[in-house]
Amino acid sequence: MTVSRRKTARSRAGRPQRLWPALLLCALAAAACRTPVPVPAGSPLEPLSVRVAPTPEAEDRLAARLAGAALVDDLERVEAALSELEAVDGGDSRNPNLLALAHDLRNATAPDDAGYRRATRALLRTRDISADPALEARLERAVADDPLRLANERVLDDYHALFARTFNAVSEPVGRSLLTGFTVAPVALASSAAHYLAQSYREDALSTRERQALVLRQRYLAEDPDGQHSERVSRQVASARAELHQTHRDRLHRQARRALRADQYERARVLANLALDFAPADPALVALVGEAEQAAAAERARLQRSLEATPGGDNEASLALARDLLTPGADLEANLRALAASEGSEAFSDEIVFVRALVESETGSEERAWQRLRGLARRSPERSNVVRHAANLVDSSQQNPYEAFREIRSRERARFARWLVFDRFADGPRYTHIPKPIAYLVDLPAVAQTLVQLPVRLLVYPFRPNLDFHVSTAAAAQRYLDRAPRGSRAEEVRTWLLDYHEERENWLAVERLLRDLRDEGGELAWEDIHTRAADQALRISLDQPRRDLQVSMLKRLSQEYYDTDAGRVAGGRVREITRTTTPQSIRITAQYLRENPRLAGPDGLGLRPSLIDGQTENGELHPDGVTLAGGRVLEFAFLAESGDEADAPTRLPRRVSSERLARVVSLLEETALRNERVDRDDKQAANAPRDLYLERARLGLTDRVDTRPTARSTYTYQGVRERYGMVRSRESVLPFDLVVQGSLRDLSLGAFPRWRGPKETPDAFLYR
Amino acid sequence: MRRHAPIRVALATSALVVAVSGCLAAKKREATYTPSENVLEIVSVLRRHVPDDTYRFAPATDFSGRNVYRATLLRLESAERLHAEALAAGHFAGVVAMAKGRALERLRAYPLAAERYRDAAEAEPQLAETALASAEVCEALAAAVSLGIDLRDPLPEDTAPAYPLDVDATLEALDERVARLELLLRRVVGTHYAPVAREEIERTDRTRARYFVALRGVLRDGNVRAVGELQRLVSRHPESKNIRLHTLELADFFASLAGEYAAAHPPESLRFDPPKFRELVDSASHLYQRVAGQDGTPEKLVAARRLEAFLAFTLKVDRDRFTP
Repeated sequence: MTVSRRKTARSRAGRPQRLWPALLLCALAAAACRTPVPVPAGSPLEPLSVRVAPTPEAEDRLAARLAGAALVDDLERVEAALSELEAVDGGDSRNPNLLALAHDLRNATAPDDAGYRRATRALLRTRDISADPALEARLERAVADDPLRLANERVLDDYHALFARTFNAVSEPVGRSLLTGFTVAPVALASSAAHYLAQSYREDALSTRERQALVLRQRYLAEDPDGQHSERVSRQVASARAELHQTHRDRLHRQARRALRADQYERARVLANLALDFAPADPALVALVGEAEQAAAAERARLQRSLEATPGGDNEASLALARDLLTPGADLEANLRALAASEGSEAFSDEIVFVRALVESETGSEERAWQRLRGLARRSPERSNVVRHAANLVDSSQQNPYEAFREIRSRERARFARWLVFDRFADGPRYTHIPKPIAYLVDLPAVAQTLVQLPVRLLVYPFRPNLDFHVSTAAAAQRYLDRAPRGSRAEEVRTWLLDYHEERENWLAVERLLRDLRDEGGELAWEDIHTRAADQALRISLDQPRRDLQVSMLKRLSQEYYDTDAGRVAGGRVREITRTTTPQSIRITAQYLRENPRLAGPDGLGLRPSLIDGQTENGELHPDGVTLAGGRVLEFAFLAESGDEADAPTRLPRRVSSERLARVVSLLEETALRNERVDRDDKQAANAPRDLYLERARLGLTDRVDTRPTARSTYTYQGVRERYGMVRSRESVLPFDLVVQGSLRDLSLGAFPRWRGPKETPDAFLYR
Repeated sequence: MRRHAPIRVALATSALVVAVSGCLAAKKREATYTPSENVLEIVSVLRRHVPDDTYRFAPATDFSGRNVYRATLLRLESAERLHAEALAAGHFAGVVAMAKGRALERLRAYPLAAERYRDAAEAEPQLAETALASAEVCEALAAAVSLGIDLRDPLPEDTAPAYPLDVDATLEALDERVARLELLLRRVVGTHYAPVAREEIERTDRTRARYFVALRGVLRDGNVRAVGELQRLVSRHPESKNIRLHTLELADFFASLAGEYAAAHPPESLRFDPPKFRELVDSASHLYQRVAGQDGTPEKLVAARRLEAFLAFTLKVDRDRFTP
C-alpha cells in the first residue's frame, strides 16, 4: 500500500516534466497543420440577379386602384376597391399583410385625425395584424398620438411623481431605522419631512408636466376647435394659462430682485416690467420697478457728485504741479517738494502722496507706489477726493493685477478649505429659496455628518484630479504676466502658475510659460518639457474626430515638434490618413448582415454566401464587414490570414455598378427603418452625411465623389447582438427598486423600497 | 428539511431560466412586404398627411423623425429600386407618380410635382382629372414664385447676385407675386393647396422684410422701413407656425440696433442718448420674452438665451450713462 502510494506520487511528480515536451510538440504540430485563412479569389459578389417581371395578380391591380382612389379622395371607389379586395383575398392571400394595409389606407382618408385614430383603434381590435409587427407598431403609435390622451398622461405623470416623492420621503427614513434602531426614527422622519417641504416650497404654480399638458390641450383646440371635448378643454386651458402666467410672473420677480440685490438696476427694471406683462398693476412689481428706478437715480446722483469741483483753495505750487503733470518730461519731484513746502500744503497732503505714487510707478518703483496707494486708499473718502481714486486703482483687477491675483488666490484657498470641511455645503445650505436660518436648520443633520467625513475627504482629495479650486487664480496669474511679464512680482507669479500647470500635467501651458525665459537664456529642463508638450499635443490631435481638422493639427505638430518622437509619429499618421482615408466610411458589420440576410443576399449586396457561413477555409468576412467607401466603391474586410478576428482585416475595395449600389442602399435603409419600428432597441441614430450619401447613391449620383470632410459619415450599422450582447437589460416589472444602502457618514445600514417616478419625456426641456 | 432541497433547487433553477429567457434579446420578426404592400404602406402614410395645414402647424414627421413628405419621396424611390421588376408591369405607375407629386409639392418642388402629375394622368385615366388639376395648380405656383427676388442663399455654389437697388421694381415684382398667390388661394380654398399658397405668401413677405433689412444702410430711413416690414410680417401671419421665428427676427433687429447705437455713440460719449437706447432695450426684451414664454418649441430656448445675452450686453452700458 505504502509502496504503491509512493510510486503514484513519484509518477505524478514526474508527469509535468514529460508533459511539457508533449504539449510543445502538439502546439508545433497544430501550428504547422493550421491552414491560413485565404482571401477569396475573384469577386466577393455574385453576379447581379436578373429577375423576371411577374404579371400582376388581381389583388395587385385592386391595390393600385385603391391607392389611386385614396390619393384623389374618391371615397366611393376606395370602399369598392376594398370590398373587392376582401372578396378576392378570401383569407388565402399570397400577400398576407395586404388587407390590413388596405384598411389602413382607407382609414387614412378619414376627414380628421380623431376619425383616423378611431378607425385605427377598430382595425387593431378587429384584425389580427401580429404577423406584421412593423404595421402594428405604426398603428399603435398613431393611436397613441392623441393630444388629449397625451395631456391626460402628463397630468397623471405629475400625480405619479408627487406620489413617488411622498412615498420615498417616508420609506427611506423608516427603512433605515429598521436596521439601525427605531430610536433615530423620529429624527430621520422629521429631517426627511423638512427636506420634502423645502423642495415643495420651490415648486412653480404650474409644473413642467402640467405645462406639457397645457400645450397639448391647446394643440387639440387649434386642430379641432369644434371638437367633442372643446368646451371642457377650453376651461382647462384657461385655468392652466392663469397658473402659467403666475409662474412666469414669479420667476421674473425673483430674477428682478436678484438683479437689484446685485446693484444691476436697469436689468432689475427691465425684468420687473416684463413680469408686469403677466400680472398688470401687481403692487409688488410696481413697487419693484419704483425701487429699481430710485436706486438708479441715486446711483446717477452719486456719479454726478463725482464730477463736482469746488473752486478756490489752489496755490501757485499746486497749479504748477497740475500744469507739469500734463507736460512730458517735467520735473515732478521738484514740483512735489515745492508744493509740500508751500503755505496751506496740508490741504494737498493726499494729492502729494497720490502724485508721488504715480512718479514712483513710472520710474520703476512699482512696489513702493502700490504701498503708498494702499495706504492712501485706507483713508476716509470724506477727507479728500483723491482717496477714492487711489481706492479705485488698488481695487481694479486690470490696473492692479498682482493684488487681484493675491486676493483671488486667498479666496480660492479659503473655498478649498471650506470644501474640505463642509463638502457640498461649502457655499451654504442647499435651499437658497427659503429663509437662510430655516435652510441651515433643514441641512443641519447632513452638515454634521459631512463634518465627520472630513478625514475621508483628506484622503480622497489627491486622487480627484477633476476637482480644481484654482482656475480663477490661474487666470489672474496669466493676466498679471500678460500685463507685466518682467514686473517685480513676475517670478513669484510665474512660479505659482508653473506649479499649477505641472500638477495638472498641462505641458503645453508649461512650455508656453517657459518659452520666454528660454529665449532670455534660462534653461529649465527644456528638452523634457518640450517632449512632454509634444506628447500632449499628439494625444489631443488623435482625439479629434474630424479627419480634416485632425490632419491639420497633426501637420502643425509634426512641424513644430519635428525634433520629438511625437512629431515623427504625427508625420507618419498624416501620411497614413492621407493614404487610407476614403470619402465615406459607412460600415455594415458582418453581424448586421447575418441578422438581416436579405440585405446580404441577391436582393441587396449579392455577397457570396460562403463569405458569411462561418467556415474560414473558403474565406470569411471580418466582423468589420462591408464599408460604403464613397463613390461607387464598396470595401470588403476579410479575416486576416491568421483567422483571428482581433487582427487587422485584409481590405479589398471593389467598384460596383450604380444599379447594385442603388439596390443596396435602398434595401439597407428599408431594413434599418423596419428594424427600428419592430424593435425599439434597434434605433437608427440620426446621421445627416449618411442620409445624404444614401440618397445620392439611390438616385445614381455618386460618380462625382463628394470629398468635403463635413460630407463624410462614419456611421456603422451594427447588429443588435453586437450592441447588447446575448442578454439585454430589462426594466423590473415592480414599480419600485429595493435599495440596500450603507453610509460611511453615519455608519448606518438601511433597506427600503424606492418608488420609481415617471420618466420625463425627451422634450421636457422645452417646457421649463 | 432535506427532503425539500431538490424541490427548492428545481424552483430556483426554473426561476433563473424564466428570468434569463425574459432578458434574452427578442428575436426579430420580419415581415417582408410584396411590392403592392410596400406601395400601399407608403401611400397610406402620405395620404393621412395630405390635408395637413402646414401653414399653421409644423409638417408631420415619420417615426424616424424625418419630414413625412420627404420620407415618402425617399421611400418611393427605394421601392422603385427594390421592386423594379415587379413594378415594371406599370399597374402602380400612376399611383407612384401621383404620390410623388403630392410629396414634391410640399417640398416646394412645384415644376417637378407638375411633371409627376402629368405622368400620373397619362398612366392612369382614373387619376387624370385630379392629377391634371393639381399639375395646373403646381404650375401656377411655380410661375408665381419665380417672380421677383427670393430669400438669399448665404453660401451659394457660384457668385450670388446682389440684391437689386431698384426698390420700386423689386416691390412691384413681389406685389405681383403676392397678388397671383392670393388669386390662386381664392381658387383653391378648401383644398390642401390653401396652406401651400399661404406658405408661399408668407415666404414672399419674409423675403420682402429681409430685403429691406439688407438694404437699410443704403436706403433713406432704412432702419424705419426695415422695422416696419418686420412688424408687417408679424402682423400679417399671426396664425403661422413661424410666428415665433418672425417675432424673434424682429427682436433680433431691435437688439442689433441697440448694439449698433452703442457702438456708434459709446455710452461714455457726449452724443449717447439714454431714452433712445432704452426704447430699443424695452422693445427687444419684450419681444424676446413674448417668445420665451411659449412652451414646447425650440424658439423658446433661443429667445430665453438671447434675452439673457442681450441683458448682459446692457450691463456694460448700465453703470455709465444709461440709468433711468
